[in-house]
Amino acid sequence: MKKQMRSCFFLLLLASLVLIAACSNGANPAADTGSNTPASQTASGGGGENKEPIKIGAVFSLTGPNSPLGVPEKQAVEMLVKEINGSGGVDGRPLEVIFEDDKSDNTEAVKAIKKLVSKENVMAVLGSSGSGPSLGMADFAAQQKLPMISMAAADQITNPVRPGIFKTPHTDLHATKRIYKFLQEKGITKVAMLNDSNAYGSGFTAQLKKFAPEYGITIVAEEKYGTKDPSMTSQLTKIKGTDAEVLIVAGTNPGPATIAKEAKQLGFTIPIISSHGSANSKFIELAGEAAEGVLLVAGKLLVADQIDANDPQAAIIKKFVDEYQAAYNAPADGFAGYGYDGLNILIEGLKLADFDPSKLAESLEKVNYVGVTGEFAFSAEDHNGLHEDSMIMVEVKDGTFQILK
Amino acid sequence: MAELLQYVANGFVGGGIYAIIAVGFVTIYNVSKVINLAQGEFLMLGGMIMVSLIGLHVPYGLAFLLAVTAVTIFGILLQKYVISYVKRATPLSLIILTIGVSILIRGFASLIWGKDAFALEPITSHEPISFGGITIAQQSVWVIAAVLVILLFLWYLMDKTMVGRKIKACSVNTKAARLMGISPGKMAGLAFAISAASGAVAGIVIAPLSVTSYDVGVLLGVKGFSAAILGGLGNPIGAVIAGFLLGLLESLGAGYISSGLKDAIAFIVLIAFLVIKPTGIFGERSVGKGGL
Repeated sequence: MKKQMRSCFFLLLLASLVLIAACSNGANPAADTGSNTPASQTASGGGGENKEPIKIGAVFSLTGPNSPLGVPEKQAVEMLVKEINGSGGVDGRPLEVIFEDDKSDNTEAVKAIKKLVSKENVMAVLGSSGSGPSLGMADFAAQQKLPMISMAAADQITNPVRPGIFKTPHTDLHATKRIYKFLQEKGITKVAMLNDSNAYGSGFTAQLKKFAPEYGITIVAEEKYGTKDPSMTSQLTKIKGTDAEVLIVAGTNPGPATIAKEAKQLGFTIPIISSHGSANSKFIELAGEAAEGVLLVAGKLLVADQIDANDPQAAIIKKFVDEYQAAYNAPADGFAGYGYDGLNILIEGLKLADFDPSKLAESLEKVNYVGVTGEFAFSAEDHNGLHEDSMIMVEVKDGTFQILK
Repeated sequence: MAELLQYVANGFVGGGIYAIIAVGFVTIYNVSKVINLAQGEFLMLGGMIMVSLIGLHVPYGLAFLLAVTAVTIFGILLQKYVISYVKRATPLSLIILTIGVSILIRGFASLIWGKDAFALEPITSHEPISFGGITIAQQSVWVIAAVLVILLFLWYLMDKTMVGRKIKACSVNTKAARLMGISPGKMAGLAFAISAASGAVAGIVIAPLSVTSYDVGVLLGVKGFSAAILGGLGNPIGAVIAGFLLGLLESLGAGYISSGLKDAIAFIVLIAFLVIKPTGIFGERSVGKGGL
């Protein structure tokens, strides 16, 4: 009897372990069912039913760790598709975007783009949300000469430039230059940095080091921390002992929030500048009181309500934020902006190509478009099209981000 | 000089936490010969339950008591319905079982709380305290205080009370203890309760220093386990000393050698030490009894 119970218990334990494993991988079991249609969803409708739709694929990370990026991206694209089709579509043809979920996984992303090409015969692809999946997709897209616009951060996606491969977010290069410009204005020359040792942080470290001489900056301390480290007090103590005038932190939350807290606990007096990777409301929520006075470099969308009315981006940012709020009852974040800009750029490119898919890759290089992320000016050498001036410096004051003039 | 003192102070705070976890390992190991690798999850549960209760506007003190009680009950249930069911299993399968349990707990925690990090308000204010050239957070003082209270309480319990003697009897010779009318099962439950409660307290007091999330237990558990091994598994005093030593090594290593190698330095010293003296600092007493 007892033995039976014991084996029952083991089965139960085994079952629950399997369940947990399944949950932590997929998060949304519904997305796994069936390999044919259920995973793909289409957004279309309205306008020009008689004509053949313009088919575009979109691979986003809708489940898994990158889902906070992928979900708003998809929502922004869906919203824009509805708007475009509501006003007659593109060139009188309805726009159809076929969504795929890469589950935040590199292999899944490549599978998804292959499926979009072979099965749906799309003329271009948006995505993906993360840098890893995007790089995988970019290799395939470049082989197939399929235009692709990524929403991921890594500089390597568009550097070196490959025909047809573009991206919308700012890179660490822009953030670095923006921070250094700000320091130049303030007459600060001695900098300490404490960056995450992951790909994002070390990429940022490389850019900070590369551009320091150009802006007359001396790096007096270069420290690292692990993404999962519970405490960075030792690194901060070391930095406190140097003559640094400012501390630059590059990482994604919670790391920078922890650093802000511990810097305060150690009685830091120099200002902290945190990178755009941490510029979201989570930073203030986690760092609490210690966030006060911290400076961050960010996209304008972070402080949409404070953008100057004369700013070239003011109109589109206001339109986007209002529409997104109305559609989803949630504030639009930077990721939603990347998706929104991506589809808009693609359509601008299509217009320039006279709706000929074979010319699309080439015409995308001529697109000049004022978006919510920044003013894009693509060229044959620049497939990101952004300039550091489309980033802004903000300061945390009374628990909100305040733009620094 | 001020820097050195600051590193030592930082290391002391981190080391104190490792010491509590290490003592948790040792307490359970001594009584039931189980190496409970789910020890780090007790800290995570303490911190996360506390965050949830504060979110529900429960007063700080009450939330503290509720969180510690909840984790303690969880520890007892874990022993009663999971560990003791497989008592006759080999030590190796028991270790694997506790790894499974810790993955299970983390999985559920990520379902309940999500994978985001959370902040917890400190017990007293955010303002740091400065003296003699070093600066520490008020919360760090609370951490040290909690560590000392827990360690003193455990010492008193083990050395001065009947319950402590019973626990010790079980660890020295289970069969003889049973013949004397002591229930080893009950004592094992008590050991789990003590480890869970001290883990929960540690998890709560360290949460305000940085942030807490569903997976903080992993790294802390590994560090605490290393301290327990370094101290000579089975010796609580050794575990405490090793815990503080590990914290100091980490802090000084990150400060004077390289912050990128922070974890590596502590573990290199651990490996080197164990190669020279495999029984740990004070390890003569009981290594080998549990089949490790």
